[in-house]
Amino acid sequence: MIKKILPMVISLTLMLQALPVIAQSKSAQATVTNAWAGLAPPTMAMNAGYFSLSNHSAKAIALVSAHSPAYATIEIHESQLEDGIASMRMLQSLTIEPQQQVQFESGGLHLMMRKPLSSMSLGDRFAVQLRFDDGAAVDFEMQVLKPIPAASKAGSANSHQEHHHHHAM
Amino acid sequence: MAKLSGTLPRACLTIILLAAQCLFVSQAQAATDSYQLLKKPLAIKPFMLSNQDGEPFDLEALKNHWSMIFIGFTTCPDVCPVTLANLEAVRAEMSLRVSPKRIPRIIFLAVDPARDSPVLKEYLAYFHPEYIGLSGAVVQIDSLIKSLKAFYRLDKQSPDDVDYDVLHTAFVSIINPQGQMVAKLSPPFYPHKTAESLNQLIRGVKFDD
Repeated sequence: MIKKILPMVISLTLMLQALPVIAQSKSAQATVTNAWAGLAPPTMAMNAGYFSLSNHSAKAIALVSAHSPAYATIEIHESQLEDGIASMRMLQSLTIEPQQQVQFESGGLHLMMRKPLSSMSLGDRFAVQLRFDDGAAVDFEMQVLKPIPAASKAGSANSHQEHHHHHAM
Repeated sequence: MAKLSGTLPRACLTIILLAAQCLFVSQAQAATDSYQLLKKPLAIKPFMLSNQDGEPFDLEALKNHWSMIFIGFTTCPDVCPVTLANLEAVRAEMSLRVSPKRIPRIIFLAVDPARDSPVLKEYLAYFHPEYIGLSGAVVQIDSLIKSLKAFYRLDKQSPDDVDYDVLHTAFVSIINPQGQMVAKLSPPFYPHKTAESLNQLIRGVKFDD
């Protein structure tokens, strides 16, 4: 039974992963993968959003803002740990060099999403749009997941294994 | 001869530089080690705070248990949830090797009472009902922070700033059943490695520091 299902699951997974790539237009410069937000208590006035952001173009692009119908405001933040002191700073923009990928992950870069406009449960998805300095935008969905512990010494602590590709318009 | 006298000091210098480099590297590694046993237990001064149910929580309440005290605040969406998840994973790892009553409790010391007090109970219940959340008068929070040799600051940009950040020391204090701080953990709190260190500490294995 498992032997029969497994190849089906694998091929289905491969198809699902491949589809958005095929659909990707020529003008696409940036893609977002592994987008998720932590499960947060309803009284919490903010949440953090995470993803991998890739610049596929030959020139640097700068992320300047983020928007979502699920939150009143979103800022680009970076948590820092300096001399044992944890703090956070807001970025006006974030440059992604050509052919580079930037990780938004716990303890580092994240979207600071303030004032949720509806209560969200585990597994819920909501739309997010990233806007860039050249006027391009990337639309994608963020899924509400439980924060997971740091897995290993090797880092990549919060990589929820989920691959949904999205492309710039 | 002139050549020899030139080479010898240079060789000495190289050796000194290498030695200095080794020393620096070993110090840097020690600094990034996530578990640090204190040279001697640190006494905690009496304090009076409340848990998330509004019940008093003082120095006596800290005794007869092992505890991990984590400094945070409830408007911390990035680092605090994952730290709580890591500490929970440490407890899960320890449960395989240590009896339940010796597994450290997770104590979240919330340092921003104006924003924390109203929501602390619900915030912690959302992550784990067994977490202990401490809040209270600023002077009492400051007393415990001082005992732990920790630090925090509400980073208000103006008196009416409501979206301010809270700077705080990131380490977790390990408290023994006598109510003394005996060790500290530093980020990123890898659960397996941390659990191993705490298992050894709690089972009373001696360490060379």
